[in-house]
Amino acid sequence: MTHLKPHPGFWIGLLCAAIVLWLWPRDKSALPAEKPELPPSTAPAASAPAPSIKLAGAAPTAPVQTPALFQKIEAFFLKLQKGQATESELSALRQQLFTANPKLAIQAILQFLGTNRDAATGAEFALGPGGLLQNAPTLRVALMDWLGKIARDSRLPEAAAFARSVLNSKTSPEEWAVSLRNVAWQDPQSGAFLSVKLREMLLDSDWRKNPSAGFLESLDVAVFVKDPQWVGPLASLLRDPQPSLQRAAAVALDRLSEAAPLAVMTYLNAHPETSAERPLVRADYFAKADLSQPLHRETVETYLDRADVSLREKEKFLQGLATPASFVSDNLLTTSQPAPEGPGRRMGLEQTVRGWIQSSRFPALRPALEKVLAAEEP
Amino acid sequence: MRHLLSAALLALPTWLGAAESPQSVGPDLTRTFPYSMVGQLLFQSGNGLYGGSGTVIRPSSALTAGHNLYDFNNGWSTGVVFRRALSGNTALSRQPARRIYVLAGYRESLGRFGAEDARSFANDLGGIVFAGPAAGGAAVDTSADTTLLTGATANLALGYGAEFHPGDELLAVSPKTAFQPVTGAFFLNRSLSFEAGMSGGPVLARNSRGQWRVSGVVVAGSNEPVSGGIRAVDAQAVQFIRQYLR
Repeated sequence: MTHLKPHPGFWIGLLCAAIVLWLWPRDKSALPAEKPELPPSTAPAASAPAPSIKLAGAAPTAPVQTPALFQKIEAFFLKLQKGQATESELSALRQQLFTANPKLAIQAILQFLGTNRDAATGAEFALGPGGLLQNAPTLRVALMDWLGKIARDSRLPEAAAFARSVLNSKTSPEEWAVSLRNVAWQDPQSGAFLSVKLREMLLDSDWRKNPSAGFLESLDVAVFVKDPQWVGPLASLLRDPQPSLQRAAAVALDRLSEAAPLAVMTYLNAHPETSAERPLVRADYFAKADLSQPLHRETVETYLDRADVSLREKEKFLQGLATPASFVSDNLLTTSQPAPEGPGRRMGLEQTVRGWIQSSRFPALRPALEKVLAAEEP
Repeated sequence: MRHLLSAALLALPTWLGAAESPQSVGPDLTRTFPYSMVGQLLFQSGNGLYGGSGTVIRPSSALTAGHNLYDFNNGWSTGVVFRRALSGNTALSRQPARRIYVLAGYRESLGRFGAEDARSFANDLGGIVFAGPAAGGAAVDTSADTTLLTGATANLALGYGAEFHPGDELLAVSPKTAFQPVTGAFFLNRSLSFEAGMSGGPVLARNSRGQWRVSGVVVAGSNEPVSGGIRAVDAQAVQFIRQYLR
């Protein structure tokens, strides 16, 4: 466990937590844990900044009784602080929260998050299937992850509200990553907001200097929103001094071009300078096209007509078109799905290429086109 | 530690020390199961033609190293062709890839930690899918039991080395000791060496029932100190194979 630098918002958070705990109705907290109710702490916690701070040895700020689930989180936190918590205890806590009444679980998580206390788990941020975390670096991040899942499964709005409050101040890239996901889960129309927040992340020089796992995984927002306006910024990240960010941006660009092929191709045709220094990689983005779709075909023809694109790049594009390629991974927001490989795409490719050969549409590419056709024949 | 791509016609003399070094298995064994499921992978990356290795692990798919299929500077490899059980000029089958997958995301993207970092090798796995069965429906199954690598079970690494051999014959090497986990799914063995061109080849082991299983994929090698690195087949790899390779 490491001590984290106190965030300026910490004192505000601490104050809010104290108020929340002090205001907590003692009679209600004594009710059986099964009785569903939303805590009065929800609003203050949601509006409070959420710095990721570990308070070594700090005790709750008000001597109040709390619901059973909150006490379980509290007990685990104290063990984690002392370095005595085990992985199985973390799993058990998650299980207890997942199987509890969702409203009570959310209430308990928000109450703990409202205290702004945190402790490191010793694990690295890692995603599992469906955007859920496999490992969380801190208890707060784990709780935000669980909060998101419980709220999504029970269709309750608290996770997104809290996530938006986290995204109001720079806590940690990991907290932001999970918060971006929680907002997206709750509100699929939040693309513009998510893009703004991803931009904020990328503009944070401290976060960008040493990109953490949560920071890199957040690039999935660009793929989720399917906005071609991300092509330029991602392409510029390919020149970032940080190799990890370069690589993550390369994956994001490839996945964005797979998720929104027409939009990305159109953008690249309109911005010929983008990725011009990496022509063979640019060819890969166009290779996501589905020539059975007229608009894709037209856009590809525009690309093949371009004088600024080398013959080698065009040849690579044709080869890639016949052999689609994809990254496979567990992502924050999007899923890795095999690109459509039904007979329609193959047939569209064969018919289009045959048509180009017959009409001598791209004479310089004839050998490459014939090669594609030969490979498509059974 | 470096990747084991073999540029065409590359041949560099070196002293490999006392570790086990890859030797030709000969044409007969090359065409005997499970050796016959291994093949040479030819592909173009940028302006270079390269050779690697792969194994038929599903009827119409082969498992290989991710760096055979993708490179940060040149993007996806093209012209990927699998020549199964190649021996001299002939192969039992020759099939172009119809679909390529690399098991890596934003965080694990190949080369995130630099081309020669163990953490990159830990995420160095890919697969290719063919139009039809590569070996008449036969395949070597995989095993996510990493004790097959770290325990007393004998291991056999195979591939088409082209560094000290011509690249047209199947090579095999067995370590004297068990593999050691380094980070994530990257395992190392200092009792053997690999040759450039073996990248993507299988590390085979017999399970408790005596069946051959692919337990790892050759991804890295070093001549000084002599060592061979593999990407173990773990639960994530098995899931990847089940979901994307057929």
